[in-house]
Amino acid sequence: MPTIPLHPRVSSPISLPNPLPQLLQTPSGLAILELQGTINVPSQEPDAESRAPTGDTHDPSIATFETPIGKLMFPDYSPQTTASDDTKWMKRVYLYVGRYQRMTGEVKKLAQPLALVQRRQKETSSDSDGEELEIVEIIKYKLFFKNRPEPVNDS
Amino acid sequence: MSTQAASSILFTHTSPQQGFKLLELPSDLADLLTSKEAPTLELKSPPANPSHQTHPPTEESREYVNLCTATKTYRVRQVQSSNSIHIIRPSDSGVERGDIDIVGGSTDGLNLVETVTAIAICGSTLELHTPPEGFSAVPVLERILPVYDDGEEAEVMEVDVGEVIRRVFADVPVSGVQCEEGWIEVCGFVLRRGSGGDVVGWCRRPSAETKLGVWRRVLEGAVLQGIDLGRQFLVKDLWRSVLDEGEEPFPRALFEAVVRRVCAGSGLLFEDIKWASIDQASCTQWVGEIYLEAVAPTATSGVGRSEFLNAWKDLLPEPWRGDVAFSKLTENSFKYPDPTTICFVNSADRQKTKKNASTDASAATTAKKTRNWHELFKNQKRQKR
Repeated sequence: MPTIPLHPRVSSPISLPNPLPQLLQTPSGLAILELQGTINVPSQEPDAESRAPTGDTHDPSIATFETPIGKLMFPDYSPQTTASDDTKWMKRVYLYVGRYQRMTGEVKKLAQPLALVQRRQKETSSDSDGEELEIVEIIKYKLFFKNRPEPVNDS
Repeated sequence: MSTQAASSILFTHTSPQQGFKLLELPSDLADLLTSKEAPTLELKSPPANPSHQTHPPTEESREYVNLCTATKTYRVRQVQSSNSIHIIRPSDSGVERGDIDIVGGSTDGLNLVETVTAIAICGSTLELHTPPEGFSAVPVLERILPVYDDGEEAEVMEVDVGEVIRRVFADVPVSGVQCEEGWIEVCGFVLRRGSGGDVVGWCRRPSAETKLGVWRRVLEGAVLQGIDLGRQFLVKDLWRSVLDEGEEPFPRALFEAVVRRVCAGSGLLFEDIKWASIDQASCTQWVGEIYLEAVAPTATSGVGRSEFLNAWKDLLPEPWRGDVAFSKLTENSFKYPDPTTICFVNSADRQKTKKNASTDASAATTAKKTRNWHELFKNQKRQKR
């Protein structure tokens, strides 16, 4: 049957504290970071990107590994003092790549909200083999870096 | 610099990466999905057609995916992005992590415990579109439902009719409500005859001639039994009036399909109809169109205009005869092949004329609004051809 169900968001809030500004926080913790260009990660799997869409994502047998890329900064934002209706901080976001490069970007409201769609995890493997999708999050803002990196001094 | 340091977040890349798709939500869909009782949506694609391989793909047979809510349909289109869009989420520090020194994590004394990590990358987004002509189940149903052969008898096969129809709808790539509307429009019915598990094979749609025959019979029966079709009546009574000394001239399911088509507020496809009242305007129109389709399906078989109007009048209950006029027919559903005759224009040809008329006008406005190159240049391409 060519009908594939797309289930609505099931709220599974994360337990981890979310370091992003309130505006970018979502129940699942997922957010979008868009940049012009690519991040090249030295990785044991050279084609991690191309195989990503098919990969069974939560397979616990595959150990996850995190490669540090840089740091993200919201120079005009402070969780204590920035009022919730203040949007000035959104104009400036820094993404340091390594120690010596910095990209300047901003927080942008999406023209249309984006639904993050993922293949639904099967509870039992014996279940029907029909594919099922679900919306894991609906995102309204993104981090957007459209400028080239500029060299910075490692202060 | 202490304030900056405080809002410094370590940014990492997780491998293996996950698979995500990004779907742009129009505001009505976003509202629906963020509401408390968000429904499950359906992604539907057209049924596999064996003729796919033999014919060059046409507008109708091309592969596509539609996203359907209960009432609405959207065409899904994949749009490539030159930017890389990363999905990020907070990360706990428990996972194995590469050398943090490369980003100056430990040397300058920053407390980079808070971490977000990129878990997926998307090179494209899925956009949703609604074409100006909208979506209809009719073309698909006309393609997949076998035409009822007069004299085919219904079998007494124990099936759940509603379930059969729902399974047919699974192959029709529009929303449930649009499927029901289309089913009623083509007078689809379950004949309970067919082979194996092919549910479509159990269903039929009548030709224009068959529909005309059923309607003629209904009209005669109503006159004989004194049933006023202008008022509410019991469907059971009308069915009895159609019977020929207890003999069924055609399956009851076909009769009910026709009754549903001409009735007002015919939304309740999955419920039995007991009482019915005919919608005078839409019934008059429908009778005119099926008659025209039955007797003059093409330009070469055009029928005289006054002859057509008289025949149309004769096919209506007495008090409705005055309603007959060419203006009552659906726009574009007929044409005048020569000065005295009229003929039917089938829905496929109708779509073509409508599309040609509407795209040029609307293309300019959509091009302005859109961010897509192929929309922006569609107009120019068309002119060159």
